[in-house]
Amino acid sequence: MLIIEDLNLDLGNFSLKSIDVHIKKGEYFTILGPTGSGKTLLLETISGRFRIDKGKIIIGGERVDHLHPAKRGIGYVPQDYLLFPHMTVRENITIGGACLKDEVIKLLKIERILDRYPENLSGGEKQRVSLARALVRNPKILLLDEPTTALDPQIKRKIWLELKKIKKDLSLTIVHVTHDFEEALFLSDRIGVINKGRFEQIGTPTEIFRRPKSRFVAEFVEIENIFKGSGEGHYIIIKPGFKLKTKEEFHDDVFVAVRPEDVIIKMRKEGRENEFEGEIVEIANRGAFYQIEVYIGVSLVSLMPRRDFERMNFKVGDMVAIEINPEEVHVF
Amino acid sequence: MKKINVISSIFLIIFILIIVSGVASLFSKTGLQGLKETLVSREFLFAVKFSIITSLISLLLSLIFSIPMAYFLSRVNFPLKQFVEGVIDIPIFLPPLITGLSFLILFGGGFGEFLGRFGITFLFSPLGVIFAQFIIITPYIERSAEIAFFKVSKRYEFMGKIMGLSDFDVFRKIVFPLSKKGILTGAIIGWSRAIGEFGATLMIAGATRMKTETLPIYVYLSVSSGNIKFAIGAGVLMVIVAILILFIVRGVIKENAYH
Repeated sequence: MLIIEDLNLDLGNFSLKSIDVHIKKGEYFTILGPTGSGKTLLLETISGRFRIDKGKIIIGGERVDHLHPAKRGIGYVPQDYLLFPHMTVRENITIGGACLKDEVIKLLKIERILDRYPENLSGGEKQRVSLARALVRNPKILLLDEPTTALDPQIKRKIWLELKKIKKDLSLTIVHVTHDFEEALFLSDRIGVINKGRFEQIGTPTEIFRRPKSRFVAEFVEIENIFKGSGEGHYIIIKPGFKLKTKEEFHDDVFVAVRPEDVIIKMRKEGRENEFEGEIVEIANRGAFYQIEVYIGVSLVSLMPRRDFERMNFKVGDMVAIEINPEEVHVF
Repeated sequence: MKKINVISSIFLIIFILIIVSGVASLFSKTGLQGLKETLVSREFLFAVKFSIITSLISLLLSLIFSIPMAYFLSRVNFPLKQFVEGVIDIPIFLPPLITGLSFLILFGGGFGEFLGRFGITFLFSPLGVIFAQFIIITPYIERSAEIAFFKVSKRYEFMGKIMGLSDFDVFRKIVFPLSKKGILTGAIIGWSRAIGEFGATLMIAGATRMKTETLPIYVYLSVSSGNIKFAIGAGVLMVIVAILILFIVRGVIKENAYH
């Protein structure tokens, strides 16, 4: 549905470099990245705000990078909704000659606010109107720019469910920009992690979450245990006395990442691979989980479900053993 | 109260007193009889009518020029932009008398003769009054409109384009409605300056009774010919109009600031 080939754009302060991505019809694709990474710039470039320096943008089989924004077959929902403040909801939706579609109005539950002005709408209502404005134009592809950033956490989760429903009911292809990893995990079929105007990794949520391909991606998906080491066959030497066994062989300098939830803490060693002894140096309550930092010559962070933690009754200063399954040692 | 506030308020009170005493002295020298005589004077009525007509024409002309100029300057960056903006502002910083003098020289030379061949005469004619007002008020209106346009996010324009609007419709349906209060403020200020314009008008159009006689020229001619009563009567009426304009502008600006 959306093909971007070797897209390059330089605006001085911001740029996009060699963007290549193929998004399938009906796919929910999320562009994930920190502030200033170029994700909104990419979305606005797809929608036609900027003329690209090099490359191609193809939507529904038609090359559109030279076309007027209205002729690209896109629906665009900006981060700040950009509802025209001097127009009612009805006028905002129908501006440019679009029709109010009962199907969309009902789906988004905005029947009763059609004659209100944007200043009298809540954040969630503005969000729905902005979506309606994009959807009544029958877009081939829906572009969402951080659609839940300004919303309360409860409303945010409600909108996530609504977005899933809209995608299913209208068989839409959606490209969604966010810096919220949880949001990307919840909604996406695939995620593209962007940094400094370039995709660092594109993959399914599981691939991004479990198998990051760069230090940036690993850090962005909150893998706190990242170490530099050198590969010696099936082992990565991180420092004397601390080497991790891996599934595959490595012979160069590499980075190693282990998700906190894959660092298992137990009372004592059981003679398995990648077992180490150390001291608990910090415990932090994170709601459903406890974050436990264990010093084994380097600091390792573990996430333990609350019930397991309460059963084990760990305290700062306890000597414990940790285990890391070689399958969960990610090398890049 | 803090010492600095006390000192500051003394300056404020002195300045307010200066202004109020000036205006009050004007009112103190006029009686109802004098005001009535002024109001029914043929010359005064001509000056009122002439001032309103010329100021409305110059305002319209100024809006026709200012709005596109302001939109262009608010949206496009180009080399020498600051220089161009500086040139537009010249009539603000130059004494109106000097602005008028420069056009007196321009229209008094070959260029004036050239225009005369097409029946266009600015010097000592009602057209000159309109031209003088137009030149003096346009920088104020343009600057107000430019600020108003600048405040409208370009992203609204982009959204309008995505919605299928042409560039002209984006301006007509989105940019202009969102900036009209700023433009209106500029237009009211411009109109009040046009009504009160004297220096440039005197230089370009002269001070001919019942021909190029705007309200300020009427006051000037009345004082020159010793008819101080008529000058004061006209002055009082102009003060009343100015105060009304002031309140309208402040109301518009306040509402604008709220939105």
